[in-house]
Amino acid sequence: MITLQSSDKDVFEIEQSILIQSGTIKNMVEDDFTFIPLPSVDTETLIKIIEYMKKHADKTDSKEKNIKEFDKDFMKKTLNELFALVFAANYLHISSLLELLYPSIADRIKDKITEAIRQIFSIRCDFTPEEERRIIMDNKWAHEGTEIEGTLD
Amino acid sequence: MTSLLICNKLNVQKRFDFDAINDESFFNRNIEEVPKKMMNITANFQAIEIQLQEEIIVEILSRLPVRSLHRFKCVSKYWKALISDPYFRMKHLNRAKNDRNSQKNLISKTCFDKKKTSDKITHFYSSSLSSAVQLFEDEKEVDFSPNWTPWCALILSSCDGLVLIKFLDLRTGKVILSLWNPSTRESVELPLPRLVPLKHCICGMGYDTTSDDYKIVMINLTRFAHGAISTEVLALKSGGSWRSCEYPTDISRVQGVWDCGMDYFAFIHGAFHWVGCRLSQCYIVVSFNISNEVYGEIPLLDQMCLNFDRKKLTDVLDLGVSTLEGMLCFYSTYYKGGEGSFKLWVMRDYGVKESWTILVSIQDSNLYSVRPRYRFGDGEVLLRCRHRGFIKFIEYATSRGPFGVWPSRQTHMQDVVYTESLISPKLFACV
Repeated sequence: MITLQSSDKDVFEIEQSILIQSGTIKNMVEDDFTFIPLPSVDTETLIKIIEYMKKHADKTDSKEKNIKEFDKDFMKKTLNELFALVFAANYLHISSLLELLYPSIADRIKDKITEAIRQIFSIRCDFTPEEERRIIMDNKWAHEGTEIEGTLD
Repeated sequence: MTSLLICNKLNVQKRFDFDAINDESFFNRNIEEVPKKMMNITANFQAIEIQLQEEIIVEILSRLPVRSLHRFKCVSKYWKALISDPYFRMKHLNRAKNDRNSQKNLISKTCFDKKKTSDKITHFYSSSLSSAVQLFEDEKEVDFSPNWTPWCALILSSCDGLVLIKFLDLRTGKVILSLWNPSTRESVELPLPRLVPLKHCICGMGYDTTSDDYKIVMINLTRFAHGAISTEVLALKSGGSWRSCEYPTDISRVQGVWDCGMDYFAFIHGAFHWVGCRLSQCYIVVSFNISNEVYGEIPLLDQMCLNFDRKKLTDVLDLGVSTLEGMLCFYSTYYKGGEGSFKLWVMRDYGVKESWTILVSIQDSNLYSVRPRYRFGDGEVLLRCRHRGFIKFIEYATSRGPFGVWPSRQTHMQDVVYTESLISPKLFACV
């Protein structure tokens, strides 16, 4: 059994066989660590990560359809939650979860206006208003369309 | 992750205590008091955090459609630089090539009604290929270019999201050969081939991994071309002008219904392919390697080359090669005595004659010139057909049955499948 500690100092005891889906944890276990602090992952996100790894630990054929259903429901979260998950999954090197998160996030943001993107990714616009206007004019066709929306989720 | 491993190499206790660094008073300490090793750890950790963010952003952006990426160019300078970066564009293309949602169909429509000469301007439309139904419901007009008014445009070839178009510019009266990316709306003019008249040519475009360059091949193979067959090659990045290559002297042209049986060459396994006739007897698939520009041959099974009597005008044969899902395929429409027969074979093992396997076989009296275009996820093959009564316009059918007739019957139409990509034609301004 391995103990994980979130950034909020909550501890979780999980079987090694489940946790080796994380490349990061696998390396630490091989170096004989039994207590692994994760200062980049908060409790809420860690709970979800553990839930995912537990579901994916048993990959027998009969469970495949169940796993697909689970994955689909697992993605039904707010964008903020998905971002926290993708940061944690990247840090923990869980490639199957990343392959699920990347297209889901891309799909969620593809029709958003630029201002919504800036807020979602916490980006400050460093173009002057004139520069920005010129870029928009050059790509006018990309800014027109009924499907474009400005929600933050 | 790396920061944790560094801690291990310092032989700190196995249960590493992050509290020391997380404690705010740590940062308020006099800088000289902080042990150097601890400072390195903090610096490394912060640097890695930033790097992870970039990795994540690249992975997400490379999965976005081209339209979204063009809109997000004005998000910030960093995003604009990322989206314009050639490595990112290649990463995006490699992902798009395997994504069914990124495959699109481009159609050109030119009115050929003699009374309406002003309407001969060609309009382009793009539709999704996610399903047969989407092909019709999703059609959107695509503006070609503000610089030119394309008159009687012809689609010559397509590769990696770039489409080769030939047209007459109404304003200048010049024949223009243009490389266009319908997803990004960018286009550039290319030089015309020197020897072969463009109107008699079949074209192919492909990416050569050896020279990291795109090449266009043109051969005067259409049914109206006469005399010696010559090949011309244009390498887009290097050179910038057409070079001639000799054509094998023992292979002659194949005559199809409307042209030579093919709209463009099939590019697969690093070579262009088309059908030739050896010594007026047997048909073979001719190949032209894009890297070393050497000709080759791929044999056909006997039953693929039907014997038919060219003197009997009611007997018609239209054949050629194409690609479907990474495999070379051979098709033939054979019309004899009121009965049309279409057959499609795929070569499961490239170059292995015995691996030709029949995929589709249709009997229909209305079939005239049927060519495979795309295979949908459910296995249905999209077929582009010409109707015996109205040969200039195209119909679509699938291997399961006919569907959809385009509304206007006085329109000359052409089509090509392309991948949505960010590859910019402006990289190849060799004029």
